[in-house]
Amino acid sequence: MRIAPRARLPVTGGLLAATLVAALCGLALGPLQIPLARTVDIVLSLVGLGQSSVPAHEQATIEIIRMPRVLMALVTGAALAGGGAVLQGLTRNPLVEPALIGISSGAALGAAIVIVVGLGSVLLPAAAFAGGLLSALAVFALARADGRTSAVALLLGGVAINALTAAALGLMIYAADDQELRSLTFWMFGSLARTDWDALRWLIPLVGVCCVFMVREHRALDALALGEQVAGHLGIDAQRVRNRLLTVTVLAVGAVVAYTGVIAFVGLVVPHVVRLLLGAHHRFLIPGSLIVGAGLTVVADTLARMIVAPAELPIGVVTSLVGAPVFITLLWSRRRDYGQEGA
Amino acid sequence: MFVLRAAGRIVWPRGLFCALGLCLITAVQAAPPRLVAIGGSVTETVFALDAGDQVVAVDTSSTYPPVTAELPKVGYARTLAAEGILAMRPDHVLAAEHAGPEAVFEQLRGAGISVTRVPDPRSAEDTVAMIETLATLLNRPEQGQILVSNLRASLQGLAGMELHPRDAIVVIGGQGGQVMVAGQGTAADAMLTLVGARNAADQFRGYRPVGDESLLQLAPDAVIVPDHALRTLGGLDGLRARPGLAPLPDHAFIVMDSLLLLGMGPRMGDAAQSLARSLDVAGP
Repeated sequence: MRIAPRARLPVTGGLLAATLVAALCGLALGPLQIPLARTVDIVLSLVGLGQSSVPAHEQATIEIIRMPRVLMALVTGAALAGGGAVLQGLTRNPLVEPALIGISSGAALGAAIVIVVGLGSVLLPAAAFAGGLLSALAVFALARADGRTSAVALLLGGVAINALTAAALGLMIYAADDQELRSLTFWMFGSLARTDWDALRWLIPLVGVCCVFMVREHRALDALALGEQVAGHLGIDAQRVRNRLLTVTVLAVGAVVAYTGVIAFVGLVVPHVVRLLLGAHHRFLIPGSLIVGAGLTVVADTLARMIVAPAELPIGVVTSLVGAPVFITLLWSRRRDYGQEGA
Repeated sequence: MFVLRAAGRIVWPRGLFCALGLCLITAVQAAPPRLVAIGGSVTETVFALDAGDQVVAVDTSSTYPPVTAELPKVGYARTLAAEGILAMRPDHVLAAEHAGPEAVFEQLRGAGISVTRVPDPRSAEDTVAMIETLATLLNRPEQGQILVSNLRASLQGLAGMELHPRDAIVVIGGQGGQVMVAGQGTAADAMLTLVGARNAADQFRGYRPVGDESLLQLAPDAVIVPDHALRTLGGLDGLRARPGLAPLPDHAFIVMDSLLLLGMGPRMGDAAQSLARSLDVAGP
């Protein structure tokens, strides 16, 4: 079954609507029960429409806990899934995800150094961001020869740098005391519990701009899918496109990972889900991945807050629990198409 | 099961909250503040101060007194979530210093809840300070004085006992069932010092994995195991069978309740006496 080109726009619209509904559910649902009408009241007053006169603890719950978390989930999901779609396109390899080019492990190492050396939690996101950026740069440097970046070398470089950072991380874990070890494990599990407005103030614009760049390069990504030479004949400067896209991916993913820690599944599988829903053209694949990634992460975080309330589950567990069955169902119903594409 | 339990917890207190809210409006003094206690020794102290009926939720490391098992759990002390705690509608959150993440307490303060952090005790004087802080906070000065004098009495009782300067180690289970040994700066180390024993593993700080050969090198007279660690260590038999510990006789192994041994709460005097008696038996 091929996806009818005419169906793509409505399906994308539907996904966007579903994500918005998920975000509203994320604001309205939680261990603390707040009636929907009051939730709407509070949200309207937060965006400057009307005055809310609800109990202070309900106002605070939505304003300083749920709202930042929902926004963080949207931004994180979009960055991870968009980054995954871009990297899969650039490398023409369906198994690539942002973690594979060293961003996550580098960020984890940066975070570990701050935690174990004891530099203070204020520096943690900065160090994680720097760590992710540095290890991704190291991977690019390894993959670059005569001014060209090869996709295979990029993957192998990623494996090498990941091994190195994992070893360094192992050393930090050894050096950590009990308390440090636990903060480190908590960070590596991935969580949106530490989100605050200060982080969002620069994350939203940064990731937003990166996403615009990802969406804009859809023609180049389609051309690159046919091979670099063909892309060249089509008038695409493959090298420039690749550098630009790798940069925005590393910036977006590095920035969110610095705050949330490592969240599994989204970057790898969301692009596949979207490919099954909307086809492989990047014009829809990239925006679709941004939307589905954001939606899935919001749903996962809302469930993580609810399932074992008043305690909380690690979000990485929930993204996989929610996403994997969806992916399996899609894969099962469309498995013949995959066979044909491979032939 | 989780969903049902969670639902039960969300639903039933609401009526209570409404009632409490009304009480608050009519008579502010009448309703004692609702407490969430986080950290095993903090919870134990709150209950020992007779304030247990004010506690509406605890964390999963709060296992003593046994009645805490029936209270809602807001998760593990080090991986808390703000909204889960808020949903219990506390007036006051009492949390051990090791609890976190820090951002959660900021969020709670932002929601207008008073948060008190209690330093983790590492000596008898720290425990006294913790009891006094909590007694003042909970407005229970008499109970506080009783607890402190009981603690001092049982510590003095310890001074009257015949102590044996044994070389001992305290072990817990690490990743993959390896043996982790308590070094300096741990509650375990403080307890050993308190009962006149020597921590044979004083070359490092915190808990470290120690291999069989190094265990032989440490050559302890006694091996102390908090009971929660037995499962990951393959039970007492599994621990005894480790090549690094096999030379030790069976009576060299001492199993103690984890919170009693490591919590350094109001029962630490009794814990020390019990440990001293076990070490007496464990002699070479």
